[in-house]
Amino acid sequence: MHIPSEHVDSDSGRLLGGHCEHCQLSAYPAPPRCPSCLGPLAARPLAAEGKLYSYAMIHAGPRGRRLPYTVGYVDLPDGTRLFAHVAADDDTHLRTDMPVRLSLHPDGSGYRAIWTPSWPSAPNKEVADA
Amino acid sequence: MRDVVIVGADMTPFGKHLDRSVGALGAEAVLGALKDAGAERSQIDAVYSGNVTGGMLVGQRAVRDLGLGGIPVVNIENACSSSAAALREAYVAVGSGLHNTVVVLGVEKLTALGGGPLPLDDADHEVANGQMMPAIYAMRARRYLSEYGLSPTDLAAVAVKARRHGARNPYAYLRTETTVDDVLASRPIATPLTLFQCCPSGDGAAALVVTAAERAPTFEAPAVRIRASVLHSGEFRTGFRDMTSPDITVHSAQEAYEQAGIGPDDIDVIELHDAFTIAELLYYEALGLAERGRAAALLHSGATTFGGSTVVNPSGGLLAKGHPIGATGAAQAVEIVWQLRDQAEQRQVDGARLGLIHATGGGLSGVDHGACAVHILEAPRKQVARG
Repeated sequence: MHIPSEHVDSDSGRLLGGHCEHCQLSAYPAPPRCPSCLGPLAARPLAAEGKLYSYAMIHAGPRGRRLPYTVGYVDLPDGTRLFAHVAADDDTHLRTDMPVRLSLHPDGSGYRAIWTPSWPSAPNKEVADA
Repeated sequence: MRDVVIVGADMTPFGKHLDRSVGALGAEAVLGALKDAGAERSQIDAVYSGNVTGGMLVGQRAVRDLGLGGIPVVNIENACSSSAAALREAYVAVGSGLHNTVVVLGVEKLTALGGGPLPLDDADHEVANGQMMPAIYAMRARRYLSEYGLSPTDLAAVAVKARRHGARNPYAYLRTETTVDDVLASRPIATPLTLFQCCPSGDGAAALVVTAAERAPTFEAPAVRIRASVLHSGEFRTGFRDMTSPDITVHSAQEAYEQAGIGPDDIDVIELHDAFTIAELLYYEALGLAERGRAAALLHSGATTFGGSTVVNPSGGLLAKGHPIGATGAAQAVEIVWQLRDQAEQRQVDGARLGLIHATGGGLSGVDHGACAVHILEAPRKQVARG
């Protein structure tokens, strides 16, 4: 997934989300205003680790995309949910609720973002069910 | 609001209509509904037309050649709920007394797009990064299977039922039965969903004549009363969302049951929005037919097929009948009208008195769906002979 450079905090190397102090609401990408109180959002670095809520490997997709690719939703500890590309050659290694970590790779004018399972190889059953 | 009834219903078969324009398809359905009602064109005060991909003035293109002009023709785009939203506009217009008799049209020609997943708004962050409707439903499926310990076999059983029902429906796009093995062996689209678990798109049109209850005796067809008409948009959330409980459908259905003063147990027949197999299971729960996590058990019990307590998608649903998106809501209503008039022939649900229609869809990040419409219809007081 391509991330424009202004969406990344150069100090921490983390994604920048929008945060509403009043509503304690965070979102990525930051909407133009808080959808709850319509007030301004402040930029805030987001956690680079989260849990994979769900995922799907896409085998028949929009024209112009290399297939297959895997998408998912990642829930961060502060409650933000992100649409994500997930590193997976074979989605049988993935599980719902497994820990995933963000890596950002320089790519043209911005970054390529991909979430990778935090364990290096296929999880054992015990971990997957934990 | 005064009581509102449907006195005319017709549709084209769904499928590939390569040689016919969107206007011609729409005209055929409108003409059929007018004939069914025995309505004169001079009685029609307005036309509400649902379509998504046809471009400008689809409603006018459909009714111009029928000599319907000089009246409001309103074109409505609400993704997969477009013509269900048109039915609601008709209900509001007639119920409020603004109009007496109106036509609802749903029409779509998706073969004009050349196939593949529906194109969504690529200004949307998720869509710009490869999101598509099959993937959204696949993620719902993955989460649901994992939360309740189910398997893709449970999903495949939905497609098997849909195709069995569709085989009885001359208006359905896919009219051959299938098996769990064949469903699972069809090519992967977005895992765990395979091709036979995704609705075919296609072309088609459906139309209704809607009038005030007090005017119903003017028309030839028996009057099917609209007991509830509800339309919701999706609610934006930036954080956690339970993808196994579609809140837009839960809220729309609750409001519809309240409007009608009934509950899910009172419903005899349902046409619901099974765009993908997982959708039917989630909607059993969202519509109150099953407790959370019990949808597959309900399906396997036979309660939602012919002979069961609430027959779901006797037409074959989107999975077998097809999903020319703008036509779907109106076509669901046509099927339920036929069911409630005891005219559905080999797919008739015996003694159906109350029917529910559910059309929802539209991919927009941060909301469950863009739109959802739920209608509840009631059979005419006196049954007519089987047509």
